[in-house]
Amino acid sequence: MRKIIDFLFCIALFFSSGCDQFDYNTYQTDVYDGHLELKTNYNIERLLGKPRKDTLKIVFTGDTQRFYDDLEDLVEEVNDILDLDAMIITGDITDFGIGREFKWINKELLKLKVPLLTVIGNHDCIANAKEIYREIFGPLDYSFTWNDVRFVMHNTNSREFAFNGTVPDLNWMQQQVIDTAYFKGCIFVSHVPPDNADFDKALEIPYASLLKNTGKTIFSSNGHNHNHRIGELYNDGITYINTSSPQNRIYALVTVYPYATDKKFDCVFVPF
Amino acid sequence: MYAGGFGMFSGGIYINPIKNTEITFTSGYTPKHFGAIWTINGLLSYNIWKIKLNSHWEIHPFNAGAFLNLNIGKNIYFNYPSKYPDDYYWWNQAVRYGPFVHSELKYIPDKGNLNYKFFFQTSTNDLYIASYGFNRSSIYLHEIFVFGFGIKVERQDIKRPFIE
Repeated sequence: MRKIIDFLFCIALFFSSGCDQFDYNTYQTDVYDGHLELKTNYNIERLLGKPRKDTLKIVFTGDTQRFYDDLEDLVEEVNDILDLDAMIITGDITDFGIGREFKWINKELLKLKVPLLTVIGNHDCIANAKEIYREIFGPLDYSFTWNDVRFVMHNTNSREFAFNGTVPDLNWMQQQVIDTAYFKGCIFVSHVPPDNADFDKALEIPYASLLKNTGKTIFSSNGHNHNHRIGELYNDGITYINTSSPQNRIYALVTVYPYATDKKFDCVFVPF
Repeated sequence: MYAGGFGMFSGGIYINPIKNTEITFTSGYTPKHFGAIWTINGLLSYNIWKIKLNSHWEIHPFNAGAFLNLNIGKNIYFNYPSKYPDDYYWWNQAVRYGPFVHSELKYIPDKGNLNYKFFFQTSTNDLYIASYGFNRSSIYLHEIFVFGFGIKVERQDIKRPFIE
C-alpha cells in the first residue's frame, strides 16, 4: 500500500512541477511566465540595434485568433524571407481572450526569428485579456522611431470601451507626431480601421485628419476585416492597408523607403 | 479542491442518488492577483471502474462525467452589455462546460464513520475543445487539459457523502 501512495504522490508532484496546467480559472490573469522575446520594449530595442538602412522590410499580419495551424505555417514562411526586419500583428491575437490561447499563440510566435510587434484587437480586450496582453507584450499605445520612421501603435477598439471618446486616444496620438523635425515618415498601426462600425464614429473624421495633417504619414495598417485590402478611405492621399488573417493564407510584405522623395513604400500580398 | 478551473480553492457537497453516481455542487474563488473570479459549479459523474485493493483501500481510476461552470467576475458577461450588437461574440462568457475525470484513491478507516477519497481531476471545456478542433498540428491534445486535485469525505452509515 505504501508503494501505491508513494507512486501517486510522485505523479502529483510530476504534474505540479513539470506542467503548468493547474489553472485556477479559464479567465485568470498572471497565466504566463513571460518571455522577453515577446515584450514590446525588448523588440523595439532589437530593431534600434540594427544597422541603419535605406529600405525596411516588414511582414504585416493580423487576426491570428484560433488559426494556430495557419500561424504555424506563416511563421515558417516568414522565417525564410531574406533581409526581413520585423513582423507586426494588427490585433486579435486571441479569439476568446483567455490565457490558454495566449499560450498556444505564443508557442508559435516564439519561433519567429525577427522582432515582433503587436497592437491590441477587440478580442484581446474581452474578459481579462487586456491585463494578460499587458503582462505578455506591454502597453496598448506606444510609439518609437526606427530608421527615421515614427511608428504609432495604438488601440482603436472603441466598442470595447463603450465609445467613451478616449479610444483611439487622439490627444496621445497628436503628441507622438508633434515633433515632425525628428522623423522622415510616419506609420500608424491599429486594429479596427476608421471606416468600421466598431470605430468611434465621433472620432472618425478627426482621426483621418490627424493622419493627414502629420504631412509625413506613409500609410496606416489595420486588421479586423480578415481580408486584405489596400487603398484610400477618404480620398486624402492616406493609404490604409488592411492585413489578412493567416486563416486566408495571405500576408502583406511591406517595403518602406524612409529616405525616398517620391514613393515611400511598396506593399505586396503574398500567399503561403 | 485545488485548481481545476473552478478557483484556486473550491468546495461544496455531493450526493449519491444512485449507486456509483455522484452529483456535486461547489463554489470556488480565484484571488484578486489572478483576476478575482467566483465560480459556481455543478458536476455529474459515474464511476466506471472500481479496483478493491483490500478492506481499507480502493482505486477508482475513471469516475467520469460532465460539469457546468458559472464564472462571476469583472468583464465576464452572462448577458453581453448593450455596447455590443446581438451575437457580436457567439459564445457565452460566463458559462463553461465540458467533460472531466476524477481518478480517486479511497481510504476506508477501521475506526470512525468517515471515508476519504483523494482525487485528481482532469477536465477540459467547450472553448478549449473549439480551439483544438481545427488546430491538430500546433496544439497537442494534452494542452487542452486542466488539472486539479482534492479530497472528498463521505459518511459510511447513510452512504450519502456530504463534503468535498
